[in-house]
Amino acid sequence: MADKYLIYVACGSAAASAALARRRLIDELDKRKIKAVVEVHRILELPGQVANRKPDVVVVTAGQAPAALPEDVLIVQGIPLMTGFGIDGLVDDMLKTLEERES
Amino acid sequence: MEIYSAFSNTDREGLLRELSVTLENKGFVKDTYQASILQREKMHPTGLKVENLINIAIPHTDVEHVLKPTMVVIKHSSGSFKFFRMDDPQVQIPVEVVFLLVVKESDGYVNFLAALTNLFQDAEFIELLESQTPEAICRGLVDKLKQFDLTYQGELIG
Repeated sequence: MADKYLIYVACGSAAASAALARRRLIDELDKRKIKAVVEVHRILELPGQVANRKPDVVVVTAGQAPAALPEDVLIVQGIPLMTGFGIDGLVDDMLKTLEERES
Repeated sequence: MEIYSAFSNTDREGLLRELSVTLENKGFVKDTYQASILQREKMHPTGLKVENLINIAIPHTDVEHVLKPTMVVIKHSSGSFKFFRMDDPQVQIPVEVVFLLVVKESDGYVNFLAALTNLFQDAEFIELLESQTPEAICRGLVDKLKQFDLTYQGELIG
């Protein structure tokens, strides 16, 4: 099956927090049998990456997403993926929004 | 991995400066580390409000400034540190426990960070965080995260 979504996870340094968020997000998507490519990027590099290949979702673990992102990219605040609290709600809401956008 | 504890009565910047100097002297980080971690904390703060838990912070910076990984667990000696929130960088919160993450290699470290944050749901560990010394927290980490072969090395500063 082809990957359903392209998701970028971004933090300040792409070293620790976004990488952890990526791993937990992949686990949750696997549990729900959702295929996705999940990539880690630095927040500063997001506008360039998004212009190059537009994702369905940007999950931000540090601060705010850059204002310059296209309106049809879903922006998700990813702190629950860091702390471990509220992950189910975050992933369910994200997938629900994506499905609504598709229909 | 060697881990350290610390008490400090300075502010956030003073703490990061003091830790940077000591870690550089001990050969954990390069001389570029201090400027980098201060800038990183300013641009992308790391204060975290964890549900039903005291506030924590996990300052860290780019791997290129690090020579050898370590972690330092710090509490304020007479109150709390003030960190800006990771998810709301305009808002400052009191932080009771700081985990300075000195990251050398991002892949392996994610395992560690995942295990550390999983402990936020462990009642025994939360008790340690809330009411015990940084040394006791470090000893708890050595015990609970056996797979990472942590060794407690004593107080770094304080």
